Amino acid sequence: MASAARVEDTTFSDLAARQRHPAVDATIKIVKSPVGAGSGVVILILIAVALSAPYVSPFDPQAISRDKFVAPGEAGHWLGSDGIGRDILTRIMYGARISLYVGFLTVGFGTLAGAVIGLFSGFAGGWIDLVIQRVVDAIQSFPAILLAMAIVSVIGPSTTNGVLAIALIVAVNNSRVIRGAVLSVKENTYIEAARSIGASPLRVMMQHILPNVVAPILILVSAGFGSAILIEGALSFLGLATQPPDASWGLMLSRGRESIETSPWLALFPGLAIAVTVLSFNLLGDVVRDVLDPRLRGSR
Amino acid sequence: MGRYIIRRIVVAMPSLAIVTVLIAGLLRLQPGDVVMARLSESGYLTQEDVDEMRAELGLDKSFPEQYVDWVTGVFQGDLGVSLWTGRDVLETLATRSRVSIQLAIMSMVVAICTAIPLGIVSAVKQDSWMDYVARLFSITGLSVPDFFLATMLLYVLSVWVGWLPDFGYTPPWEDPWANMQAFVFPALIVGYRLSAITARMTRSAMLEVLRQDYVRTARAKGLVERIVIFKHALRNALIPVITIIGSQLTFLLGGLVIIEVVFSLPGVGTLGFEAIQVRDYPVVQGVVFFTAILFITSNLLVDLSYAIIDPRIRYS
Repeated sequence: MASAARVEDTTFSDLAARQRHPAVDATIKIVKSPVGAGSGVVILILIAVALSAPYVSPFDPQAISRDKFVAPGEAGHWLGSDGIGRDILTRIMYGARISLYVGFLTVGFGTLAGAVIGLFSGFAGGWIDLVIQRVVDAIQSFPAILLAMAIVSVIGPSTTNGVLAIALIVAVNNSRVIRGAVLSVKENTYIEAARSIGASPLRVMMQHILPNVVAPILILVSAGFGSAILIEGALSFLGLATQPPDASWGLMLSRGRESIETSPWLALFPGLAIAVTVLSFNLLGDVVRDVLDPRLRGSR
Repeated sequence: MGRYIIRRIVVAMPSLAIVTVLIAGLLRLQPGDVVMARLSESGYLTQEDVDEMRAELGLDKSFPEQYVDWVTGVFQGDLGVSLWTGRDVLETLATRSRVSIQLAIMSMVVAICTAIPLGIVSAVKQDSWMDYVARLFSITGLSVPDFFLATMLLYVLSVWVGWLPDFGYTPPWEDPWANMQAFVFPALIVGYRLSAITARMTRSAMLEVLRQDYVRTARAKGLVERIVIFKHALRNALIPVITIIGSQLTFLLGGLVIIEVVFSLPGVGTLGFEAIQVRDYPVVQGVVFFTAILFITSNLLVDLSYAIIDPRIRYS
């Protein structure tokens, strides 16, 4: 009897799980996994630091002082100071603002534009799809960093222009994935059913196709942050995005290279900041993908 | 097979045209051109001098005319000359590409030699400590910026080891040792990142294949585990892995840009980086053309290699 009762129990909890909204269900699974929870906490701390930087940072990010090239831990500079006496910890905290700003904007714009293009291209089909896909091919056949460089060299180097360039590339890449998902969803009988009762193409697209490609879109969103922050870092490193005196991690790292033999911390800490941030977003992205699409477990 | 290859090349032409128009057009949207940039360096010149210089460089024509001239040149094997140095673009590309191609090949070798064994171990010993270490290794490779790794590597070499190789280019047939010294560190860094992606793909492809019935059959008939894994599973898992390696090529080229700049290696990446900044249109167009051709060729090779791995695939 005891075993029968247990069977009943699991059935009930299964039913309870099934009655929850799938989004709630997925969130619970993500938070319950140790990797998901751990990386989530790191990201929340990062967001908190970015938002509160003006209040909690020990110094002013641009304040020049006499304490030049102070080693970490000395004279109140926990992570040391740079060649004109600016505090590295403070600048890293402000750098988090730039990285997250870039991450949110590129992922937001890249996903939105990518979804619109992907939905439209996949749903329209025919020659429209053909033309759009050839343009996508063309853009994808060119290294992202060189394309971003070309765009930035036209519109001028700045954080926002860097965002625009990265978002464009992200949008193009995402549109291809979303189009693929749309193509497979489009073949389902329920789409035919919706059409046969006279639903307009726009309605079919928004009400019947979009909800079924949400999982791949969410996976793209969660994977997008890491790569957006990495590309911004690379562009700033090459002097093509954030401009001095603003504190972007890539820019700090690039400047730190000049005095690396005597003060390696100038390059080390900004580099670690990028690595930890991107690692957290990538780990969280993996968990999100495992939860939303178990078939893709472990792949990229 | 021959017809298949020709068809693929023809299909790729529109994309090639789009990417060259796109990049060349994009750079011309910028206010000012190479003449103004050159004049700002050479001091005072009259308007006539400026016009003469523009005419000489072909910049007085409209963009469509310039583009048609360039395309005609391409068909005659002429990619034009650099607006800055006056050197032949095709020749420059040929010299610079030796560096990039060697770096790309070495990075690929590093990536494949680490990624495939890691991916196999990770899948065969799923959820063991070896799996976790391998996965940590790959996700770190995806997260740590290559320019950061390169910077730290240069620091360790110069300060801790007290020795830095010369990152100039020496052809391998002249001095293989000097050549290796210049390439081994950049190749390790580019290869690491590439291996991270490949190892993840190998792992998931192997996991998928290991669950198949034919693997169970192979084990059931008493085959040694080594043969089951290498002969039955790995071969079937390789197709997605090769696709991902092929599709990483543009990514690889992008990675080369940064690494070449950090190590100041004279490759195509640094060439493109410098040319974009000084608006040297013919050089930029040449680099774009070069990378796009490389991309198309590698995709074609990837598709053709499927037929070698999976004899059921035939191209016609």
